[in-house]
Amino acid sequence: MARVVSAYATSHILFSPRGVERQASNVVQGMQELGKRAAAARPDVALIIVSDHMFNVNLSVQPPFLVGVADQYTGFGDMGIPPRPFRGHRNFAEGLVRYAATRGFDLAKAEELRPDHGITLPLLFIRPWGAVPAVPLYVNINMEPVPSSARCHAFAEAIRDYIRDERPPNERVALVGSGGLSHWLRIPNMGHVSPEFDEEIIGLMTAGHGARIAQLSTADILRRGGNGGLEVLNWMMAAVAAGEPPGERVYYEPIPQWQTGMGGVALAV
Amino acid sequence: MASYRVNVLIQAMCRNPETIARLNADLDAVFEQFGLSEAERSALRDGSMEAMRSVGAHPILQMHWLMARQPQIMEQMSILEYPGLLEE
Repeated sequence: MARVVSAYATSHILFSPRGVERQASNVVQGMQELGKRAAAARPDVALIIVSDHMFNVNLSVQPPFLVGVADQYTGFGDMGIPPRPFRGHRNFAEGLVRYAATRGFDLAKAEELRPDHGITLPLLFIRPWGAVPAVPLYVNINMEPVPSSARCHAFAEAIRDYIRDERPPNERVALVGSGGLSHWLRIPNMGHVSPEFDEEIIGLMTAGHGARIAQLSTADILRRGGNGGLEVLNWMMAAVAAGEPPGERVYYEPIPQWQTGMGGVALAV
Repeated sequence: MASYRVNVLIQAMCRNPETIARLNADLDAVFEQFGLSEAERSALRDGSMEAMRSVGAHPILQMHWLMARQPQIMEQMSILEYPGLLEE
């Protein structure tokens, strides 16, 4: 019986701070705080629930869920984050794939990934670089059909049970839900930010009701939070896999100049 | 008329920085290599959301295209102005 010792959800992008210095500073401080807490929890492995930005998973092959099982990765190097190596966790990742199959989820595996900022930005804040082996779990929120909210929720329950029932005693697991909040990327309404949607998501997460995000259909999320807003499914999955504890809002800034709502919630595991 | 070819070109570009250099050196040669129609070439040259949508360019691949063609966008969307983040 392993333990979730750290769980949080966070936006995963930074833009130039010029013109939005105060907001950018709050965002970076929030990300630093989340990373610091994760490192202090001394996890043995971090499962990062995220969506690839089509550097690895693109239209050529479109798995609904994909797990990186490699021993080591090198980041893609986008967003100015140096392409440095970091460890994976084959045992955790392959075990998850095997266990998920017993729960009705046939996951795709990947040996070769160059994780982009969705993974490398959160990792940048868990110091020192590479201290915690990371397992990428990619949820296809970018290409139709997006896995349904209900399917993501059920999968997250399977992840929760895998950690609780199948992992070695004393293993310490960190969960990261990476992405969000509202943003409309190269679709009509581009540039809009919805603080109302963002606050609703943060409110559910902090109240220990992250699972209720799954009551929103993907069409609802798309309409209210944009195509990028679908990344809140990653937040929901982290909350459900962590056992739906309440949480703390660590940062939130709607930043129209960045065309997105930026937020982070630490869950009280 | 939307097709998959525009996305094939951008996806190839994402994985191969040499294609980006070739694009910026000789756009037409790359368009030719990927068999793009006149409408597709025109949409990519235009780069607007409406034009790129009209030829079926995926939204995220549109972003990749813009970043390759307009390096200032890539510079904006980066941690380069937060130098402290790279200190251990």
